[in-house]
Amino acid sequence: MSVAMQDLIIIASQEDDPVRRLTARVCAAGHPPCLILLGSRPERIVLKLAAFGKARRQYGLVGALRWLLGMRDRRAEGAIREPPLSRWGIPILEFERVNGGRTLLEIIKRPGSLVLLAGCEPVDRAFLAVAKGRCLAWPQPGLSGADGLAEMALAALAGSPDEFPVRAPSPVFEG
Amino acid sequence: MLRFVLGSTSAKDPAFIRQALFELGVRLNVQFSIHVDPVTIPEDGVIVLYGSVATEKVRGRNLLQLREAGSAAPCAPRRVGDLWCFGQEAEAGLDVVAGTATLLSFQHETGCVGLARDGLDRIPAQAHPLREHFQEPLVENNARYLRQILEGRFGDLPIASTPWEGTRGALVLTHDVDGPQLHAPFPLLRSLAKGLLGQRREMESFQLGALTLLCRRRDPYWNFEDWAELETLMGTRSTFYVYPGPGPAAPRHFHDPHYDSHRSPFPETLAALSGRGWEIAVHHGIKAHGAAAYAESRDVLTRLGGATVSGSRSHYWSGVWKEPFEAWKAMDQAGFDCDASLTPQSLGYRGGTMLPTMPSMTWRPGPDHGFVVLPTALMDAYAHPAFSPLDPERIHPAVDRLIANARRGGLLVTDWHVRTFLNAGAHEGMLDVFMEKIWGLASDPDLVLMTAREAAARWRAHCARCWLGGEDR
Repeated sequence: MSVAMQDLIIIASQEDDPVRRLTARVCAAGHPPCLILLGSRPERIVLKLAAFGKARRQYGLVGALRWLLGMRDRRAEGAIREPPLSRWGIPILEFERVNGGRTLLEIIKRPGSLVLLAGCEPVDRAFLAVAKGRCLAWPQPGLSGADGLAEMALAALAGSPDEFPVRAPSPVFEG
Repeated sequence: MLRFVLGSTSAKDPAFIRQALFELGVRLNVQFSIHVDPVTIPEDGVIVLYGSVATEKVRGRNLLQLREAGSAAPCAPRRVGDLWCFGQEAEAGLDVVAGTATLLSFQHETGCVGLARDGLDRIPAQAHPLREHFQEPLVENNARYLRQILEGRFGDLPIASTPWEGTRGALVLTHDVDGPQLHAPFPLLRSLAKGLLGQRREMESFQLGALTLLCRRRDPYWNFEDWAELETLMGTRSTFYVYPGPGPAAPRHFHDPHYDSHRSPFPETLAALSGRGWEIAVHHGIKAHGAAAYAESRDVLTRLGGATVSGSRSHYWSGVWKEPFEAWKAMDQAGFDCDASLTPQSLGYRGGTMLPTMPSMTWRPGPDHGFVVLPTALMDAYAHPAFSPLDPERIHPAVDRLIANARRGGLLVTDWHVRTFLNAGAHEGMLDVFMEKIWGLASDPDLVLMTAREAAARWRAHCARCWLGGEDR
């Protein structure tokens, strides 16, 4: 798939440090995204409920509660250092579900855009169809993942390499 | 130009033989007339005789005698070269007229009685006699078979009319408005109940509904504007089938939609869509039968939508399974001019016809104000592995087949519910086929997009261009 100069769309379930880092990196490189889609509050709660349910099935109720507390601790450790997304003046919209029709409609309205999946639910066939496969996802969790994704996106925007792989979607809460 | 002559036949109901000749004629895209007495035939054109006719009266004319197979062998799908046709084996070839009449009159379904039908008299897709041939446009193939015979004998048949634009096919997008609100007690509690019974997707719907309600966000199932926006990008409009609510002649069935179309935001939404060119049509309730019930529904929705309503589709596809012609005649009497309730409850064509039909030729003198039936071949749930009667690996090839059929001068009517635009929760994956296969058809050079009413109007006009009449009904 040849990738010409195009717009970027960043999609993330929440505004966290890696998403801010990713945005800062692509903006600094002269490629500010045309749109940032963030999960709404209901979306974030539904994801947490789903993740808690999964943890409960895997580890039992006590294990799941421990996992939940651990998640809070991890978040407390990772104090936000990157500037907020609002500073870039990029349109930010909220979505209910990443594969929802309203999300897909926003992508359709920006044909040819390169979609960066910066920590969200796995995308489905409908999503890949409207993005025409032009999706890149975290190569690995965390800030290094954000750096890696930014590099991949910038390389794709620069037209090098001509072929770039459509990465497997990120698992829930990755990053 | 063709002059069909319908002689005496052994058919149970010769009216359907006449209907078959009409539907074959408009699929041949030629001008034609239908006669009973050969003496009345004008001097021009090729004469096509069917049944027992005194041929000495037309001696010396270009003549094709189609042999009637009689009742020796049943009508069934038959392979002729690369075509699947439907007919009876006759002396010289296939009796496609009898086959077409069988399909149009739904005689092929008469063997399905008792337990073969559900509580609404529908035949489940897995038990339907055409289940292996749902994606075959059998009636259109019968017309192609007839064209091959005619052209083999008399040379090329001049095209007098095509229904869409030249050789292009048509795509009609429609939306059933069933449960377009999640921010209401009934759908929320239903999703919760199903979720508690272990249905993960329904639980997610409940969570989404409850949380978006608490956070004062948009109703996830209220997607009228989103469909309209998507269709604007596709360069088309669509048809929304709205349940008008119960009335004296059409009481509520438990499975009818639970919304009240008189309450806000329905009236303003429907009026706004109608004002911008989207079509509002009636989604008949399950207990709506007869002209009085249909007229009642039509009047209600005409008042709500602010524009004349002339199209319909039955909820649960009910109403047109047992006595479809009676239902369509009653709709015609009630002021409707098209219906899109014909489906095998799977991907494909229930009556073997991909193009519209005009059943009103059995009760009206001509096609000018004819009642048009549009077969709905593709619905969201039937294209979803979790709900389709087809095996998952057969879904995409079946959809591809329907699209390929439509591209060859055919028609594809799709039905995606308003709420399935959410593509999550209970409707997870419902947009897969739409986004993978339908959305891109907007730029397909072989297809033109239109609403159901526009398709019916074009089909009516096509029939009128082809139909030269028949003085002896």
